[in-house]
Amino acid sequence: MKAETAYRMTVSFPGELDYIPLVRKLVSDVLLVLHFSPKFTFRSEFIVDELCNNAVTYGSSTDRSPVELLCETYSDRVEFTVKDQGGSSENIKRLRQAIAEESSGKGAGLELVRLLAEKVTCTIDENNLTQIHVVRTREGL
Amino acid sequence: MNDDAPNIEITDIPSMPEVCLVRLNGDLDIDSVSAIDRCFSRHADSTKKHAIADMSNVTLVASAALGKLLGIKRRFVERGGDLVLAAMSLELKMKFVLMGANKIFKIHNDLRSAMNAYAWEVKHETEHIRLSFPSQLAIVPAVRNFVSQVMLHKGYNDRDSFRIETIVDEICNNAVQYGSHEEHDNITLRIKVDWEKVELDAENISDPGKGDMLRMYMNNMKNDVRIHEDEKRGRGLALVKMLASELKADVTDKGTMVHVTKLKEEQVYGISD
Repeated sequence: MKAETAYRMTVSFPGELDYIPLVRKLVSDVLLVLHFSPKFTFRSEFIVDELCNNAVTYGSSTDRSPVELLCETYSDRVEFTVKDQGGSSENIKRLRQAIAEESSGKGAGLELVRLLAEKVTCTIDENNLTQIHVVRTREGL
Repeated sequence: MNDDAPNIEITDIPSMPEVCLVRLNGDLDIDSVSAIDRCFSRHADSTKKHAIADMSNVTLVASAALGKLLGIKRRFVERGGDLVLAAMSLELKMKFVLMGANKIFKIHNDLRSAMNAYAWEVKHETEHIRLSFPSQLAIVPAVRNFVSQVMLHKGYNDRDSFRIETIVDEICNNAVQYGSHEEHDNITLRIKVDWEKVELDAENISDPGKGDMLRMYMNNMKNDVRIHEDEKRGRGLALVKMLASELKADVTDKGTMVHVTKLKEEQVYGISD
């Protein structure tokens, strides 16, 4: 498999916490197949876990709103995008705060994601649809 | 919250009229028992067959309170429903496990999981999962494993999960083999999980160079052409046909869509685990 090629994988699953370990394992298996190191893979797995947990817990307006994870792999980096259907205004406010404040004390998960990744961006549109994009560079480059 | 029962509040769930949400708080000790009972007798009317207890703010469950919850659970079971517990702290969950109460009560990680479990087990609602992955054979085992785990999670037995995994492996391998390998030409796998069946749709983008080979293959499959015993290939779809309840394929110039339906074994043979 050519390392230069960009690969895109998308998983859309019901907004339920029980699905997250399965999705995390899928991402981990795919990254290992694409020759990312076990350490890099494990840390990426943590990012996926955290982003999906947040999307399910705070970003689903109804019980079964789907969560979508996009995983793009390049020779030098992995990019994750998690999209959800948007939560309550209170949760959106909390998310905005967690993104804006580097160390708010709250949202420790997102803080850890920030530590593990090079770039974390969050977009919330007018319908409260939330999208978090994380870029993680391959180690040793 | 009720003045005479400060540890308990019963509310309706608008999307689920037959379910009530029971929020329990603080220490559920011997003093709370009668208050819990009173509150249930007053608020949980007979139209509610099912109750979800939110345990996120519970710090202690004394044996008397556990006994009361058991009694309430029995009332719901007699109505054809259940009382399930959700969002317990790890410490409390450990205590429930030590007491063996986890064998009596269904314990869900969070409220949403409890509601989704109700929708799945009682209302038999369908769940949709969609996967889009690069057209690479090396990715297929990860996909196959993911689908198998989803099936186990949704209560399909080991045999069904293994068979569905085999079907996924075969249809995805074929999608890779006969489809385009261009960078953005992904394979899409749609999974519709039902209480009694699973439907799989694997879709790829055509590789113009392989169209004739694929048509011949699909024709052989439709006409039930026997595979010669020396033949190294071609057994895959025959195996899928054998394992699945229904197999349909639609080959166009744009791409191929394979649709497989697999009934849950219990539905076919009336077996229950």
